[in-house]
Amino acid sequence: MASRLARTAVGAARLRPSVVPRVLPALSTVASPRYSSGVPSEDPKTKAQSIIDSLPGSNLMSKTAILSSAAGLSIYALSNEYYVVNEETVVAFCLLSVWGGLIKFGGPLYKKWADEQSDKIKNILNSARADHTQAVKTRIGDVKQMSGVIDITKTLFAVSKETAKLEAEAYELEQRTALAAEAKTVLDSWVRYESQVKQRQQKELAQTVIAKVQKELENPKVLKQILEQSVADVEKIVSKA
Amino acid sequence: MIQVAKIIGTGLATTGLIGAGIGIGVVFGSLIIGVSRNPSLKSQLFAYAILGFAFSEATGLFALMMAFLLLYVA
Amino acid sequence: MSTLSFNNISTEVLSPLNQFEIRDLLSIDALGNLHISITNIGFYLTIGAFFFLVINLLSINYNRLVSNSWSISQESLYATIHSIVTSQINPRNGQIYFPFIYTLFIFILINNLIGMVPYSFASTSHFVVTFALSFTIVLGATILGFQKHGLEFFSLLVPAGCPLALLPLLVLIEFISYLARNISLGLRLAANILSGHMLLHILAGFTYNIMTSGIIFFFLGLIPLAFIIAFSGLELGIAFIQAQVFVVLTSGYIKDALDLH
Repeated sequence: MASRLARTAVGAARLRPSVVPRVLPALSTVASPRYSSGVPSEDPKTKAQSIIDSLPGSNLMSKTAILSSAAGLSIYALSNEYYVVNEETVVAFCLLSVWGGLIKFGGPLYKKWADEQSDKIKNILNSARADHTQAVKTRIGDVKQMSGVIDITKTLFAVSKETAKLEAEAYELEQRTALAAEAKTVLDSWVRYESQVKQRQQKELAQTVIAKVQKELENPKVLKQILEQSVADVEKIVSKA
Repeated sequence: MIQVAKIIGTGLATTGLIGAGIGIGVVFGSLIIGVSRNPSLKSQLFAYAILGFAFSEATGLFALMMAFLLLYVA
Repeated sequence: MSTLSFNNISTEVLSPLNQFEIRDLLSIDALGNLHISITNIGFYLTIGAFFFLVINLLSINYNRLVSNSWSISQESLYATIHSIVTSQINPRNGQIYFPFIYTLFIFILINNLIGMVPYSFASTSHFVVTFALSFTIVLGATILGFQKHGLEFFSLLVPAGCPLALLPLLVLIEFISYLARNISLGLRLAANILSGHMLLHILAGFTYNIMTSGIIFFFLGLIPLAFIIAFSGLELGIAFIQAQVFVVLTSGYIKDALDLH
């Protein structure tokens, strides 16, 4: 039994996760020596410190207590054959290393990625909120510009009323002007007709006078009388001179 | 006698892994060729390659399973 | 480990098949011959259900709009399955099959991953589980095809543009390959998980024998140990890949039934 214990002393440390199954850092203590053994640049002292730090517990005393109790428990379990080290232990060790490695190395990567995703969502939501606030503010500003709208509307109404009145007057004047123009044209045409009539009467009068004169001129008596009249006039003028 | 036959059968069954090995090699070789010709398709081609790997791996594992069954069950 | 009880194995070496033994955890013999029991496979399936329930409860995140890390994992899972469904079945009409495909994926993935936990039990390595799934799926897809297309569904068996002389042969081949889907879908998953776990145990047995035979051999055994760790990593990847492959093939079969090529 003793030789078996000595042989499986390394197994005791591996056993710890199954003894203390819910302590997550224990996984990384199993996994970390395997994965970081290829890094020689690390100082052994800091390495040891990091291993101590990764153990559960707050101070060195409790860590030692937990470690020694775990070792004691595993030795007790082994010696009473509650736990038998066999092929399953090797499988368990391998699978736990894989899980530990996954949690230790994949965990931070996943955390980073998940944070990035939630940041993306947050940014989208925040920018949407900011956009909405901006839009509301712009709308408020637009509405604020319209605060004098009642006065302006009243003035506009008055102006439009005045305009309507003026338009009505203008229309009236226009109508009057049109009436006057029509009257003028009627009068003009009347005047033109009157003048035409007068002209024709004068022409007719002149013609009758001329015709009468010519008729009288054909008469020699009248001609002689005219001649005597003219001679008498000339003599009168000459005698006067 | 039957023990010997079992072991011989197991050995014969494992020859099925030749095909699986060739298949996996072809899948990833083709992935490399495809990616080097058109690197922009890398993610899509990788998804297909993983699928192809799973298929050829599965055929190999059929052979391996037969070997195990012959050795331990039959 | 318990005593060997796997049929006629009569060696002192633990069989790598021992881990797949189904045992009764709780059993009641009621009503004469009726034997009701909770086996370890049922127990681990229940654990898987609870596990996923817990993950979902963590992911709800008090119904907040901005998701925490748990819900982001669920969201990305959802997006992955959704893209599989939409690309495989149909971008629009295929969406009604999404809940089924999602459930299938989660079931297989969780059970694969539980199988990867040490000292636990891989439910999906059992042909009874995977064949139950695959036969149900292919039968369901066939019923779907008959419901949608009637007897025209048999045109699935006729390849497009084949010569008439070859038709009987090709139809026979297609018919056999259609029937083989039942087997191959479940066999692929179970064989992967089964041989992965078996290989892990066999290699671990070898390494254990090396490491226990002396102090020098203990350190020599670290080399195969590193290999086994790498192989465990591969197994973890296979757990994901097989769940995805199963889902992709299921989507493909449903698409076949819906669209007939």
